[in-house]
Amino acid sequence: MNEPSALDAYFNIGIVLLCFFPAALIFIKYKLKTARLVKVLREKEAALESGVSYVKKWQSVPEILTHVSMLTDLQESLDLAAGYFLRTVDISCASYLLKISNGYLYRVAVLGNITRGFADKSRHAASAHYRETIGDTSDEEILTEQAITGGGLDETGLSDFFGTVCIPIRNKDQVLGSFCVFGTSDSLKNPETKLFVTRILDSVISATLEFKQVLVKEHKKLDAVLQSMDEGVLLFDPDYRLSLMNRTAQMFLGISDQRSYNVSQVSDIIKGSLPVQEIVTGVMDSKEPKSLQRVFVNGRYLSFMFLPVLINRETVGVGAVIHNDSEEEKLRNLREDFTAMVVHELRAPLTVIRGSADMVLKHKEKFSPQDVELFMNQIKDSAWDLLKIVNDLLDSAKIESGKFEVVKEDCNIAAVLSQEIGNYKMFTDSKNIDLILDIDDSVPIIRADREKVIQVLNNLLSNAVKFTYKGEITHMADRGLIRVGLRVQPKTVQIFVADNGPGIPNEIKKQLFNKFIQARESPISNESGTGLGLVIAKGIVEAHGGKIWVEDNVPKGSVFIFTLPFK
Amino acid sequence: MKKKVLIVEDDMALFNMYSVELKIKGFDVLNVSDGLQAMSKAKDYAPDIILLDIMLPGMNGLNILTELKGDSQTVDIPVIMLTNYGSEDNVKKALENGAADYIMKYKILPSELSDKIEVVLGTSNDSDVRIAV
Repeated sequence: MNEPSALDAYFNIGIVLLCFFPAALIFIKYKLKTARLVKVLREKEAALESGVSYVKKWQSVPEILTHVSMLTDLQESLDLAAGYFLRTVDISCASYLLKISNGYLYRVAVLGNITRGFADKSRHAASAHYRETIGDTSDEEILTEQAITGGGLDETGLSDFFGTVCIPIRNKDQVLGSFCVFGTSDSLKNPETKLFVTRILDSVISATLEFKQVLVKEHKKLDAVLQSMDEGVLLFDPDYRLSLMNRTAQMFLGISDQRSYNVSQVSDIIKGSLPVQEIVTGVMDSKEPKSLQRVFVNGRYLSFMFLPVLINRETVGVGAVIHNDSEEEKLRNLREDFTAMVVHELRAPLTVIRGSADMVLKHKEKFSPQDVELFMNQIKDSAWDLLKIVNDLLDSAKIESGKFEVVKEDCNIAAVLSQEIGNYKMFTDSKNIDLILDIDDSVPIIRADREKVIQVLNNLLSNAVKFTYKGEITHMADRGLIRVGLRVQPKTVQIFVADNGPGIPNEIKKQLFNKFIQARESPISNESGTGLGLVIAKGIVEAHGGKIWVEDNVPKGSVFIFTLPFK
Repeated sequence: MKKKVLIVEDDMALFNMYSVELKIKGFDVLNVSDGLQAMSKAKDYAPDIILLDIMLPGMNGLNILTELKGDSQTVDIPVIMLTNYGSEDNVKKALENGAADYIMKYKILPSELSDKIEVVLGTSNDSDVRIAV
């Protein structure tokens, strides 16, 4: 029996099957696994693709925000956003409905032409969304101004759209309108697209409104700074109109109203003292700044600085900064007066020294010894006066520059006072002035520069004598009265010199201790002397850590008071 | 007869110089140190010439000049202003208000004072002498 039997055949098949079954099983398993893997891979790939596009879209967000953040006009920003969506999202059209001051605006951005039907349908969609958002249940159609950008109305144009995504345009709780994008086919079914559009739009709106807010705030800040400036500020735009003028400038130029002037009108107002028109035109053309000093306008000396306002090298206007020179002018005058006064004070003793010496030399044969003595004494006294003036000038210069120093040592201030008053007694007696000393008991030894304190006392006493003697008191009463006192306080001694002279007007009191004001406005300016005595007294007292001031005496006259700390 | 000079000057040292010098030169001299008395002395003393300081205590010499030139009794008395200020304004004002001349005190010696007075009084031998100040 060599013929294979059917049983064999089945057996063989069985063997084959037995052999192949596990392999087939493995194969099928493998196939299934591969298919699953492919599916997963495909899914992943799809996700990846959409992810990439999503990321790509978001990557371009800063670009649009950069543009938007420079805009304060919402409409401009929405136009920009609509154009941006047309480029980045697969849509046929982006549009928005916006509430404006006098109604509603509807703008459509497309890449080509659209039919009237398309335009109407899109507008219905936007206004329906808007009504829904604001909770308007009426069916009334919102009447809008309509504009199409990027294309126009044409009956051969795009006639329909698929899928719509509408997003409310909000500013906080306020609904300003609706923004819609209309799909080409099923392009808007992807929820990510809606999310993308929403997010971009939100960012655009908030960036615009925030920027506007920031700008308004900054503008207010800037305006506040401008208005509070001591300098006047003007800005002429390229049409030569005055576009900005702060309060100080109004005051300087004598312009009170807010009318918009042009440069020639401003020239007229300043009345020829400054050729504003010529200067502004010159600066506008040359782009070079120009300054003018000491221009007399409306009773003030003003300095002007005209500056070109450049943006990208383009002149967009001319600004002017106006500074009031009058205070400096006043100070300059005071300095000049002071110098003239010092020169005068130096010349007086020099004239006497030179003249007296010449007299003695020329007339020595004719002169009696008494004559010679008179003129020699004049020379001596004038030389002493000269020395005193030079010392005062030096002291006041040191005080002014902060280099004035005192050397403190133990000082019996009560004794110093008694001794100085003793020295003055003969002098005051000869001038019919009573000099009274009034010192507290148990005055402590203080730390002070004795010589400098004596200088303060001398300055105050000589002033008191000068005014008590020269003042009205000589006409009203027989005798003047100067009272010098010392009071012991917790940490200081207070010393006062009171006279019954004519007193000091209030407006001068404040300035008495001021170097240059003194020279011009104090009553001392009518007297001889540099008027530096009080300036130096103040410098000395303050170098000790004390204070000096003046009060009215009762019933008349002045009291100069200064304090010296114990240490 | 001696020419009379009224000196209105508050600085006693200067006055001493001027008065001793002028007396030596044969003038009669009277001094007042304050502006208030200047006017009455100008009338009582009837000087031939007045030397008037511009800077006086409590009063400006220019005001006294105006007063002198506004009074028929004193209008013809020549006035020489005395000053140590180099202020052009004051000098100009003084000359406009009728001062015959002015003297910068620091520039002249007492011995030169009488020359200037004589030029103003027209008693100088050298009538061409102009007052240089």
